[in-house]
Amino acid sequence: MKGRLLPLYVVALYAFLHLPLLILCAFSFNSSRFTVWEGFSLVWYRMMWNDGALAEATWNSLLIAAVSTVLSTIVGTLCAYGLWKKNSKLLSGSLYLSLVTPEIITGIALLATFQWAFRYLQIQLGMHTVILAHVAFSIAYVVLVVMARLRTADPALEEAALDLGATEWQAFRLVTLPMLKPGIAAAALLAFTVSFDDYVITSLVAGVDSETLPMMLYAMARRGANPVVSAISTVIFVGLGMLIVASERLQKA
Amino acid sequence: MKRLRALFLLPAWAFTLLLFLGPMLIIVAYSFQSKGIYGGVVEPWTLENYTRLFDPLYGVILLRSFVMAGAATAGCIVLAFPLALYIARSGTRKSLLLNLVMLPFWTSFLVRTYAWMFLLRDTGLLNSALLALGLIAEPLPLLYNDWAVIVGLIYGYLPFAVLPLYSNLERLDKSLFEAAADLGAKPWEAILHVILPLTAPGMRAAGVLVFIPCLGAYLTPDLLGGGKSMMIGNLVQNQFTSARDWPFGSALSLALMAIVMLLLWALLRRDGEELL
Amino acid sequence: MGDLQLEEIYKDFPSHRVVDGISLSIPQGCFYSLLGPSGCGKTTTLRMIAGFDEPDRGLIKLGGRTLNGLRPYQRPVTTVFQSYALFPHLTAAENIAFGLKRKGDPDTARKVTEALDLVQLTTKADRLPAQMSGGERQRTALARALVLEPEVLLLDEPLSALDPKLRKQMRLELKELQSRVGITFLFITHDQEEALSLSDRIAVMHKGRLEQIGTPQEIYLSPATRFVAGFLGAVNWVGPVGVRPEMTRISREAPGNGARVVEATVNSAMFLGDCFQVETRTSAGDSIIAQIAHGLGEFQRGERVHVWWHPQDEIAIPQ
Repeated sequence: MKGRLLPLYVVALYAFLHLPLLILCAFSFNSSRFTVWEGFSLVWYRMMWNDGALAEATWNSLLIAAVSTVLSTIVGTLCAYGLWKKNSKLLSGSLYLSLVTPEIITGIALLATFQWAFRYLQIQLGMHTVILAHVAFSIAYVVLVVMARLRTADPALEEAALDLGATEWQAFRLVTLPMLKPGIAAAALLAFTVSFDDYVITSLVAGVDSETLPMMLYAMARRGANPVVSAISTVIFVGLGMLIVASERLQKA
Repeated sequence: MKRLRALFLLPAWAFTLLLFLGPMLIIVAYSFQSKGIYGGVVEPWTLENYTRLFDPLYGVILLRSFVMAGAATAGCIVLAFPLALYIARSGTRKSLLLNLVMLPFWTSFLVRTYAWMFLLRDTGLLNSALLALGLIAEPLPLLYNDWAVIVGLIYGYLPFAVLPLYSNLERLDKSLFEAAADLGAKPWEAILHVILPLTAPGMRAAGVLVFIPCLGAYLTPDLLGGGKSMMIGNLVQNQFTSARDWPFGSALSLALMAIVMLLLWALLRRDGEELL
Repeated sequence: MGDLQLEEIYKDFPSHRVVDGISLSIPQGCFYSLLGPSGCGKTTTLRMIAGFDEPDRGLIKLGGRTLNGLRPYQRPVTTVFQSYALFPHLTAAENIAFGLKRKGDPDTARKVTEALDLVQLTTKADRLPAQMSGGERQRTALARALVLEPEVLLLDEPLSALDPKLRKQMRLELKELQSRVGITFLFITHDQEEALSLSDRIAVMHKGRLEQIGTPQEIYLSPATRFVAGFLGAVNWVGPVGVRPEMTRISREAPGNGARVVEATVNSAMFLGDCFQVETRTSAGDSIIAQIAHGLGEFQRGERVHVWWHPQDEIAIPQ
């Protein structure tokens, strides 16, 4: 196991992890619509680019992800700080539970809630419900990442600030917040990716005007072989991959 | 200070209460009510939705979910252990190797699942390649079966097994392995008698962390099983959409939640805070 | 300005009582040490004076004014933390300016320059904490606390993070700094050598209580309890009487008149560099250790010897 076998195995496992995605990306540049390589072409990217519905779905996804990222990052950062000062088992437990709750359950529970509330409020499913749902499930991710940063912080830093005449608010704003910046940025990037990528919850709480890119990708994938799906996948894969690498970098900074 | 903290926690409390705990309570309430004629949820209050969980019609799906999630979990742990061992001993390249495990995980779940459809479908890469090489005359039915779902689940949740195993192995004293060798153990004996018993907490964590999302999986069986390989998640979705039986769907969801919470509770009770 | 007074301070943690009825009076301008082993309650005492914790009972007064209930930023005391707690995103100068800016001091720039000069960090003003050496960090923390001209400076084991050589150098600097600025220093330490060499007065704490208050000489030479005697240095106990190893002599012949003598057998002899350490056993089974200078002879295991000392070197614990 220790000799030559283990490195060989590790290479095979990394191939298992990465090859499916790399092959998918490679074939998005194939000029044929079948899975036989016939030459390099950007034809599927051109088709993707010219698809109006796709552009709209992408715009929806970006908008939803941007708004929910801003909100969940603010709410999650404040929450992590509050929990760091003094843990509330009920709140942190609920947040952790929301992380492991199967998405389909989160989705139907939110759907049921929105339907129930709308009977009284006379509003419909749409962008706003998607954004609310995304903020709700992103908060826990933000709390997790910011909390990890706070755990490495010296609690004496805030005491030092108070000791030197800062109020509690000033200690937070002038000492803790600047220290947390990389963690908060990492958390925001993570919140953006989970929001941008979500299909299950979004599809349940979306209205007619709020079809997102994953919803469209899902519909196209079910319809059958279509190299445009490979092209979209490649763009998403590369885009989100860059965000995640950036987030990792920031978390280590 | 107390006031500032309360103010900071307020928005998170609001979201958690209104968009997590509240919705869960609504599901609890629905699970004890009856299905209306046009869908919807009506009184009378009843326990019937829970007794229906034991109907063989659904029992098959529940059982299948457990078997598939169990198989995927076992597969993940077996595949992840040697990798975790390798990473834990690779010195300065540790974080690079770990990031390489995590990278596909964080990029779109939908894209990753689609990548397997692309490989496995009748006109997919594997069948095309085998046909071109003349190894088969007809495309093999690789997609839309239980095996495709299990592969998809393993592919989806392998990092959840690698991370806890890695952090457990990383904490082990490096000299344990050498001590075992010094006392005459061959490498595989050292792994079997020294390393494996000491990684039991990592195994348990990996098992629970992989089993939970696999049991509640929706997208993987939906896309790779194609309706032939339904799991609990798909049944729940079905009750809320086409079957329009929200009360039964709610009872199913809560049964799934109960299992998830039970598993987590057992893990935390046994291995405690060190995992968090 | 005035004396710092603690009156009957109590503090309970969920599991036990950490501070158990402490009363202290620290004169203005004094270098005062709170000495004790870890867990004796000295850090909690400091945190109550700084305002990070509130006592369950008892008063903390400074120049007659009660500090209880005031937030840390309302108290005229500042702290040098054990970890220094320098703000990692601010330079040395910015760290020092932090407190002045909170007060809106119009003289901030000049005071920061003076403070940097005071601790000889003028050339390192623009360094971030991560770019400084341990000693520079320590001096920045000192300057940051002193620049606010507190009435009392609290120092929580400020030398413990430094390596031994640097620690001795910083000890000298600290002493000199205190005599220059003239404000009250309350120094928390578990290191008896540090406390003895720096302090005007020492209060020894043990299990939340005060064991003894006095000058370094009083504490070392006339300890009030066995704990104090043992904590400040090694002691040979012969019945109720104690004597420090460096005051203990060994000879083959009986010593002259006036000396206290015990007959013993040599158990081990160790070369310590600056002296020999000889361990002997009396017939009663007591172990007596003597540190003797080079040239006073070498002793073999099993040898019968006279162990003796002068009566004025004895430590007598008052009953």
